[in-house]
Amino acid sequence: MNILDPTFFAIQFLNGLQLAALLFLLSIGLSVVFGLMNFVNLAHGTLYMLGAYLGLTAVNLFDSYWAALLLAPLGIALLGAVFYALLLKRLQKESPMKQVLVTFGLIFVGFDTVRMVWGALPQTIPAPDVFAGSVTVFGEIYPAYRLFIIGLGILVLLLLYFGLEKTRLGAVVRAGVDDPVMVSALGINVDLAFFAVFCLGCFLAGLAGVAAAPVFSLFPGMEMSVLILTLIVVVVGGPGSLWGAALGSLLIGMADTFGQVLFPEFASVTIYALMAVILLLRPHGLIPARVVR
Amino acid sequence: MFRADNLHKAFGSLQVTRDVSLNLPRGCRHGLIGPNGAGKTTLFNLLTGELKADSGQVRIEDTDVSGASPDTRARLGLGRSFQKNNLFAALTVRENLVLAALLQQRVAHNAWRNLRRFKRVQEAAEQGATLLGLQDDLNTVVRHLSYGTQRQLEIGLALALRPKVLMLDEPTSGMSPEETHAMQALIAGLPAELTVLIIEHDMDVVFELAERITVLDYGRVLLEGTPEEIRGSEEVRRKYFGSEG
Amino acid sequence: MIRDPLHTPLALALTLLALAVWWNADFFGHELLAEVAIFAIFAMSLDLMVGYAGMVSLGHAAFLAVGAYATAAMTVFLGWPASLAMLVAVVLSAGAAALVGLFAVRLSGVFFIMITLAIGQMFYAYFFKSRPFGGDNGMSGITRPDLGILGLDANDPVVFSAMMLLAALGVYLLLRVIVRSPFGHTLIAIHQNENRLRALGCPVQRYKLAVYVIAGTLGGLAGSLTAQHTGFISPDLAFWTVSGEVLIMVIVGGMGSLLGAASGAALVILMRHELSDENTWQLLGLPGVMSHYWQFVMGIFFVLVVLFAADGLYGRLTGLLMAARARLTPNRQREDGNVSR
Repeated sequence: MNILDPTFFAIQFLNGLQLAALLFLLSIGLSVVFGLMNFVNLAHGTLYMLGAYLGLTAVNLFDSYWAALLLAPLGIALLGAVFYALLLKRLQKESPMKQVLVTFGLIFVGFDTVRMVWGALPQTIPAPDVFAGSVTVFGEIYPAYRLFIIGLGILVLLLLYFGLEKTRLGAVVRAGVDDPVMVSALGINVDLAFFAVFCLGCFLAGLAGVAAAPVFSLFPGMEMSVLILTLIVVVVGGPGSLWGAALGSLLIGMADTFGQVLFPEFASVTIYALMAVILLLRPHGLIPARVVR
Repeated sequence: MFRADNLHKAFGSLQVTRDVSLNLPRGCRHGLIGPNGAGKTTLFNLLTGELKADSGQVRIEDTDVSGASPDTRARLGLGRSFQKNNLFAALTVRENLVLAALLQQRVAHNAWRNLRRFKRVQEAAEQGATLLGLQDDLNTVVRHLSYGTQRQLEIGLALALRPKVLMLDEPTSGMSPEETHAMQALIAGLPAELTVLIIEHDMDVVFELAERITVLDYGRVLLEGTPEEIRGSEEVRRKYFGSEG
Repeated sequence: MIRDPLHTPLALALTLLALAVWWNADFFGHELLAEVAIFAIFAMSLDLMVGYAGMVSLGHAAFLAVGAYATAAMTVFLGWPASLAMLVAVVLSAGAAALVGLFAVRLSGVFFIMITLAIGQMFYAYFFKSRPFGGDNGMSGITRPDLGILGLDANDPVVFSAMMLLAALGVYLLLRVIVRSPFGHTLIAIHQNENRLRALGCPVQRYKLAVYVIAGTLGGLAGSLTAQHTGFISPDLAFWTVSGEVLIMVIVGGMGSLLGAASGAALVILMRHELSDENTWQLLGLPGVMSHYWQFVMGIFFVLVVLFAADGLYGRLTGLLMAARARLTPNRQREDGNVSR
C-alpha cells in the first residue's frame, strides 16, 4: 500500500469521494436544520437507517431499485413531517439539552423498530442492473455503482445550489440563516419554510440510506457511526452552510478513507480531534453560514 | 485613579472608539453622554473588559488592566451595573448578595465548609440589603421584585464588591419618575471616596449627579467639562439636541 | 440556602431501602445493587456539572472508560492490587478531566455538548483501536480489592455490594459538602448568569474547570468500580450513548439534586433490567418476546421524561411539597421547584 502508487491513490480517492457524497446527502439536512432552527437532531442517523430499510421493502415489493430510490426518501420525508408536527415545534423553544435528549431517546425507538420489523441480521439491497458491473479506472476494476453515488452527490449539490440561489424558498432560507429575527419581522412565513427545509433534509437522509445500501450492509446500529460522522461534517463545515457541508463532507470523507488505510490506529481519533479543534477555534465552522457578529 | 488613555476600537472598517481618554480622580462623579450610536456602550465595555481595545490603556490606580478580563478588573476594584437588569433571577435577594459577598471576601472557591458558617458573608449580605432598603425582602426571589427594586439591587450587587470604581450603565433606564428619584438618592448617597462613572440618557440625572461630564460623538470625545460648561456649549447643543430633535 | 424540603426524609428513605434490599437480596440482587450503586456515583458526578453548574456534557462516559481501563491495565498488566490500581485510576481520571476540561470549558451551550461528545468519542475510538487494551474485545481478568485484613472476601457479592453502597454513600456525602459550600453556591450562579458572575469578579472558567475535574474524577472512580464489578471492560464504556443514558438518569431523578440523580440511576437500571426480562412482560399479560425490544420502551420513556417531566421525579415531588407548604404559610414568598433553576 503505497500512497504514491497512482492506481492505489486513485481508487482510494474515489472511495473517499463516494463517502463524501453520502456524507453530504446526510449532513446537508442536519446542517441546515442546525443553522436555521438551532436544532440538533441526533435522530438524523436513524432517518438514514430507516431510509435504507424502507428502500429494502420497496425493492422487495416493486422489484425495482429506482422505485426504492424515489419512494423510500418520500416515506422518510413524510415521517419527518409527522416528527416536525408532533415534536419539533415543541422542542424548538427548549434548551439544547432537551432537544439532544429527546432525539437521543428516538434513536432507541428507531433501533428497536428496525429490529422488530426487519430483524437484526445484516441485509443488502443489490445495486441496480445499470450500475451492477464494474468499470476500469487506471487499470483497476472499480464498481460502477460507487461512481453513481458520487454523481448523485454532485447532482444534489448542484440542485440545492440552484434551489438556494434561484427560488423563493431558497431566498427565505438564506435570509433565515443570516438573520432569523429580520425574516420573521418581514412577515414571511418562516415556519412554513422551516417545515419545507426540515422535510427536504429528511428526504435527503432517506436518499442517502437507499444510496448507501448496495455498498454497506443494512443492520440495526448502522445509524450510530454515521450520525457521529455527520455531526463532525456539520461542525467542521459550519452549521447552515451549503458549501460548508460540501467541504466538510469532502474533508471527512477523504480523511476517513485515507486514514483507515494509512494509519488505521489513529484515523478515527484524528477526525474527532479535528472536530474538537474546529469547535474551539471556529465554532461556526470553516465556511460559516452566518455573518459572525 | 481610574483612567483611560487613547483608546481605539474598530469593528472591521467601522471605527467606534477613536482616541478616547478619561481621567477620573478618586471620589469624582463623572458622567458620560452622547447621542445614540456615539459609542458609549462600546467605551463602557472597553473599560470593563468585555471588549479589548485595539490600542490604548486602561488603568485602575497604578495597575495597567488593558489586557485584563472583566473578572480580573472586578477583583481589582471595578464594579459595574448593567443597563438591562442582569441578576440571578431565580435566587433570592439574600442569595444574590451572598454571592457578591463571597467573591468580595475571596472565599467563593471554598468547597469544604458549609455556606451558613460564613458569618461575615451573611452579615455583609444583610447590610447590603439594609443599605438598599431591602431588609424585608431578603428571602424574596429576585424575579418577583418590582422592576425598580431590581434596578436598585443591580447597583447593590456592584456595591457589595466594595469597589474603588463604580460604573453605572443607565441606572434609571425604564424607571418611573418616583423610581428615578429613589435611584438618584441612592447614587447621591454613595460613599464620597468612591469613584463613579455614569452613562445616562436622562440628562437631568447626569447634570444633577455629575461633577464632570464627557460628551462622546462618533466615537470621539467632543467635549469634557463641568455641567455648566457642557450646558453652555453651542456645539453640544447642536450635536446632541439638534440632531435628535 | 438550598430550598430542599425533601432532602432529609428522602436521604433516610433511600438509605433504609438500600439496606433492606441488601439484606434480602439473592446473588443476582447483589449484582444489581452493586450496579445501581456504581451508576449512582456516576450519575451524581455528572449532576454536579449538569444540574448545578449547568454544563451539559455528552461525553461523561470518557471518564468511566478512563477509570475502568486504568484499573484494568494496572491489575492485569502490572499485577497491582486493586485498591492501589483504583487510587491511580482516579488520579489518572482527574488528569484526563483536567486536560479535556482545559479545552471544553471554553465553550458553552450546544457547543459544549458537541465538544464533549467529540472528545468522548475520541476516547472511544482510541480504546476501540488500541491493541494493548484488546481493541474492540476489551480486557478481562480485573481483580477486586483484597479485604483479607478485615476477614472479608470482596469476590462475595454480598460483601461487594455493601462496598459499593458505602462508596456511593461516601461520594454522596462528599458532593453534599461541595454543593452546600460557597463553591457550590457559586456553581448555581454560573448556571444562572455566567456573565454577571464574571462582572462580580469570579473567574468563571476556572470554576468550570474545577467542576469538570471533580466530575471527571468521580466518573473515573465509577469506572474503576465497574471494572472491578464485572471483571471485564470494553470500549463500549466510552460510547456516547452511555453518556446520553447517564444524562437521562440525572434528568429522570431531577437535575440539581444528588439524591435525585442517584434515584434516577436506580430507576433507569432497574427498568432496563426488568424490561429485558421475559417474566416482567408475561406478568403484565404481554408476550415475553417484548423483552427483546426493551430499548423501544426505554426510548419512549426517555422522550416522555424529557418532554413532560424535565424537572425530574425529585423536582416534581419538591414542587408539590412546596406548593402545599405555601398554601399553609401564605407569607412565604419562596420559589417552587428546584434550586438550580
